[in-house]
Amino acid sequence: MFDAWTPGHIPAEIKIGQILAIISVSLYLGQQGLRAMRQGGGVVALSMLAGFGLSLVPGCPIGADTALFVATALAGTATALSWPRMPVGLFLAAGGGVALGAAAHPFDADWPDAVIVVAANLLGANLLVISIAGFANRVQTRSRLFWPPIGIRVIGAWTLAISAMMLAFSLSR
Amino acid sequence: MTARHGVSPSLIAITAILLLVAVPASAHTEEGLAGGFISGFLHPLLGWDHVAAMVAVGLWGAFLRTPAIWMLPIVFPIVMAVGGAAGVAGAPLPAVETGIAVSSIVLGLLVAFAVRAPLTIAVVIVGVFAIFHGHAHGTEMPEASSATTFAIGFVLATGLLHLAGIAFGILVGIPGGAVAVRALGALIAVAGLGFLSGLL
Repeated sequence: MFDAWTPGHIPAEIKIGQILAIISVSLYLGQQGLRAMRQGGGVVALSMLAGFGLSLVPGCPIGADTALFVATALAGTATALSWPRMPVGLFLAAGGGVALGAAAHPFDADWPDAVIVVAANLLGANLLVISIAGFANRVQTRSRLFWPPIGIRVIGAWTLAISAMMLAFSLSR
Repeated sequence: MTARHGVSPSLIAITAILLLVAVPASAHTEEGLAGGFISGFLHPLLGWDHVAAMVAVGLWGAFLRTPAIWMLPIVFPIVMAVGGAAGVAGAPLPAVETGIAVSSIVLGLLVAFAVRAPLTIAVVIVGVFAIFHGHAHGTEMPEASSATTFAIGFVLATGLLHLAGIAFGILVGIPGGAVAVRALGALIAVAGLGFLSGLL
């Protein structure tokens, strides 16, 4: 029996990709305001469950790492451009959530262990989305200085750069 | 996101990361991740040609003031990623090292002569040179022990170098500061000549 901290079931590289995707999508949701944050958080949770489910389908064509990097790159682009569009945010939240769920599949775990990992990933991902989106929204709406909102855009550009490189790397392997 | 019931947002974020991150037990993999990050982080920092150009981007952005001061550091990593992806995929780009050296010369001269180019022109110039830098990073990437952490490392280092350039470039706002900034630009241009000729 292991818990959410037990290592070895999900590759660390995928974990880093997941965190990048969460950062990227959350910053974009946070840029758009409280409504997008609330709805986006729910969409991420639901779509993560869909992603978990998809990953269990034999022969499912979802390449979890590729989907993660695409979602991260798109959200990073939107964040860097500071292009607030609610439908786009929800679409990215859904896409990112499915990729997160598919990538969190503990392939070599027994089902009781897998349930714990899935639950922990769902909880952790959503707490992180809420925290980062809340931070980004606070920076966006309450900062009296000009540069903190720009910092959010710069981080978006960084996540785009990292994910684009990783996408190229995963596709070229 | 206010701290209600004594629970701070940062505590929630840390808890979330702990829940999400399952670190593999294999020490070899941990070394690989750390090694990838360190080699990625050091890649721009240990190459003086990269350092010079990155700092020059920040300096020029500071000279051009808003919105260039923040737009150039956003444009650079985005376009650099395109070049990096090409490098990872093995797409050939001619004269990469020459392009990197020329970027130091051109950007250094733009700072030295305090050229106030229109924003569009500045973005195009910086973007073109970013492709060469990205390609060089991308070509190195497949050899890194962890590609993901390598990418994170070099993007962070690149951003910090821009920030260093901007921080120094802000000196243009104080008496005598513009001279210091332009002198650094000239130094970067001379260094670029050294890179191009192979002396440095």
